[in-house]
Amino acid sequence: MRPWAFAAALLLAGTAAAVEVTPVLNGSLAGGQYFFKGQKGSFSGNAALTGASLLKFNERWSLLPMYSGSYQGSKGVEDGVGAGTLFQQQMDHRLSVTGIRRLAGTNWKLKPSASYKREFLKETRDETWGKGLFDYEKIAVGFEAENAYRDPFTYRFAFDAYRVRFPNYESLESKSGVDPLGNPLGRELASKRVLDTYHYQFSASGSRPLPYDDPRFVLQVAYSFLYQSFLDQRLVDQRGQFESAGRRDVLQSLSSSVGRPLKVRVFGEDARLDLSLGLNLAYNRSNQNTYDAVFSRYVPDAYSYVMVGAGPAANLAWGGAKQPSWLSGSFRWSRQNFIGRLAQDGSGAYGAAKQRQDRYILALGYGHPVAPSLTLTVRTNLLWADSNQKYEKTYSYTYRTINYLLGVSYEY
Amino acid sequence: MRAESLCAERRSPRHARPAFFGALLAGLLFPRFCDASAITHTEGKVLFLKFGSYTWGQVVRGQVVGPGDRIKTAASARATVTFDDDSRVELSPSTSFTMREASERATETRLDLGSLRAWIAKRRSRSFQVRTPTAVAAVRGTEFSVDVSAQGETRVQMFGGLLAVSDNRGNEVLIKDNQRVEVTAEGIGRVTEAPQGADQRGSRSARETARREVGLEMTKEEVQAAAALEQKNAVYQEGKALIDVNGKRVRVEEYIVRPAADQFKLVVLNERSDRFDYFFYHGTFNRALPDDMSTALRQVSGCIGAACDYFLLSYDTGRSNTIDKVVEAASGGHQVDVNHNGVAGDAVTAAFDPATDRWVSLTADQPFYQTLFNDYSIKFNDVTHQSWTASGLAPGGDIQNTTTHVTYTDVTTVQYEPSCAPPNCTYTEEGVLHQVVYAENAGGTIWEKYDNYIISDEGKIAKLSDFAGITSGAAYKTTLLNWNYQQIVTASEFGGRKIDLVVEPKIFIKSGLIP
Repeated sequence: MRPWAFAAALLLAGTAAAVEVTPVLNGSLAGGQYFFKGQKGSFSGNAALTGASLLKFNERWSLLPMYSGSYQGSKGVEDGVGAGTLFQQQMDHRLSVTGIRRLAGTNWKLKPSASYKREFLKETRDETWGKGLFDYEKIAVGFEAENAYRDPFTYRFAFDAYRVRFPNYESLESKSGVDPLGNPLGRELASKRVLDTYHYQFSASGSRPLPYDDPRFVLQVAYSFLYQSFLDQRLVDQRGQFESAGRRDVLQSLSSSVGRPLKVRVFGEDARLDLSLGLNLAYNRSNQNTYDAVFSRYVPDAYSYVMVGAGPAANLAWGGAKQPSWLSGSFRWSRQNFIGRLAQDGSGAYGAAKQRQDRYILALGYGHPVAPSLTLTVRTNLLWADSNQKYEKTYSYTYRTINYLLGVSYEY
Repeated sequence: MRAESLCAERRSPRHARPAFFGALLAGLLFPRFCDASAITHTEGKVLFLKFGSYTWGQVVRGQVVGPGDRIKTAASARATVTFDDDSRVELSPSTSFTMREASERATETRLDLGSLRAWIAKRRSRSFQVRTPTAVAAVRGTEFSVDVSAQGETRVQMFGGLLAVSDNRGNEVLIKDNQRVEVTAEGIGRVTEAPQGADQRGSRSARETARREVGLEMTKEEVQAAAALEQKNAVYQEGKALIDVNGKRVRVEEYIVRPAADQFKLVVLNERSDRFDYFFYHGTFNRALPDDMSTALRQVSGCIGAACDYFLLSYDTGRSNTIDKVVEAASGGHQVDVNHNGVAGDAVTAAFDPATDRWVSLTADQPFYQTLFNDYSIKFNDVTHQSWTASGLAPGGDIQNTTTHVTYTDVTTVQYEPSCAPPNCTYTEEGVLHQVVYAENAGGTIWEKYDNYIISDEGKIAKLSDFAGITSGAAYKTTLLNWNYQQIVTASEFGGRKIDLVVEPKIFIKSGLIP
């Protein structure tokens, strides 16, 4: 659906007498700074807006059109920090519509959905909005079946298909032409849109109270199977040349968490403390290899990896139930072990060990209501990474980075 | 469904689903004081027992509910009872509900098992009560839910308004927004704040539903966006996106083409928003290359101790901005121990050791075999600036060690101070690794200039302190590998244009462009 048609649908839906309209609006505005390896980015702002309307036509049918957009002038600690580009501005816009069909006599809801997203990225001084090398667009359709067997506890099955396209990224090799002697510069079978991908994802997830009749804990489990087809990226063989077959990845991930809501007393008043412990596993199997032309090294199975992560989180909320003050903290460790990618020493020499990276992320936040629906927020994130990959000429693997953001959030 | 139609249904049971005009007429004839309630929505198996009857029957929508009538919902079934003032009660699955009284003054209901959620209109002039085996919830104008377990324990939760809850012993408490209380056979419990969504058995409010759906959508988006981020990071990890000394994005691709069994061609492509530059290094070896070319390519810069198994017979390199070009060509390649050829000037003191994949220092008497070429030329847009040609040299002869068999043509010569001054001179910028090499002919009509920078991925020029005083030898070359090399070439033939290349230093070291 085109944006104008989407907006018109939103407006018209709001005026239809038979439709019960429930708008939801979330917004945030914050300013902050980013530090990486002792350098600091300039102070800049972040903003985010999410607007949606739940259009309830009758007891069975509802529709959720939604817009979400964000501007990020200060890098997050996980935004490609290894590349070390301190100058980064990011903007994205996303439109989606989700149909919600309740099946009479059951706890099932069926939810077909479609979305379109465009993300813009400026990483260097000569990039302008819309001309960023890593700008991308994503078109997605999906279908979800959800069973609220004991609201809010549910189990869900979903299938999503989406295409990610980088409109400004084409391989240089595909447009390299011939050298001054008239010989081709590119390899045979060199392809063009090497980053574009089709994704097909099946996922299943659920939550359950423990014990079932007297909930003290909340258990959540999710599994996803993602098949990624690189439309135009051919496999690299041991001679550094292309094969006719294309790259395919299968990413499976399993995540779980146990939550424990507690009532505590804070500053002489009742408060709610939510504790949780999460664990996640991921396994990516790729058929792609790499050939390092500089070191004349063929690295088979370079993109397959196993990742494990775990960590606790806590959120303390006190004051009014609708708009409480809150204090949050979380710590997360993750390790990524590549199956075929070899670690290099400081000068680039390949060793026998496979590449691995450990990441530790500490996130702290505080929110305090300052007006109806308006909360003052303070957030800081610290990430430190460690790896046996010591060759860091093009990408950092061992570093510390921190950012902070001060701002307000609005929720209607 | 509007209240008017409820009244019409009660007065005219044979027309349970009146048409629009019927509903309008009924609304005009029978105002709100008709005290009607009816089942306006059902899902799944919902049973109805009329007061005085002994037989449960499947309910039909529009069924009027009067005093003493009972409703049961099966597992996964739901029902909504709507009153004439738009108040409504939603019954959850596995619920047993009784309408005890429905008069002008009061509505009294009973919940024996299961849960309900009630929205009571504020204009309601009569009281509304929900009785359970252990509690009574009495209210005017509010939204609340009531759960009753199999043991009769009751949990009442408020969503908006004020609600009086009493137990069977006559104790009573008032609960307000987002509070809840539990009542058991032992009496009424303490009023507490209701957890956000953790244990509500009633149906959600529309706003909660909307927020939840928005949250689910945003979570899905995060997962999908991660795929795009991973693509981008892979490009960075492979060194394909850098920033040059002028703060501009440089895309870099480096790969090897294999034009023939004994040939390779290393290609480096650079693209910026407004230009495309490339470098290539095409070599022909003394024998066919193995699939794993690293064995051969590691020997290109020379071999320690013995002659190389693989060496170049000829090569050509090119640098171009797609308009201008610098082409070097060499042929007649053969192996010479340059540390024992009687020429001190070509001795090698630091070399790449293929055995350890590292740069090592050589002692003065350690043999080092390099490929020397009998013929060489470098041309800028087809104009020769330097060349040499060997003639009459014995097979395997050393051009370094003869003056009679080699003809040198040096159109341009490197300019050093004091005969020249920057910028048209050869010099190193103070404190940073920026070197200028300038060469020209006698009249200055033919010239070439190389601006060489050692830069980081972020385009910052390396300081001398980054190399900690190391300016040559194995340590220098090892450290150099951690930086990028940017070379800007200008020449008298380029018409003011330039060739601007960012490459891995190792590529230039291998090809002999960095000695």
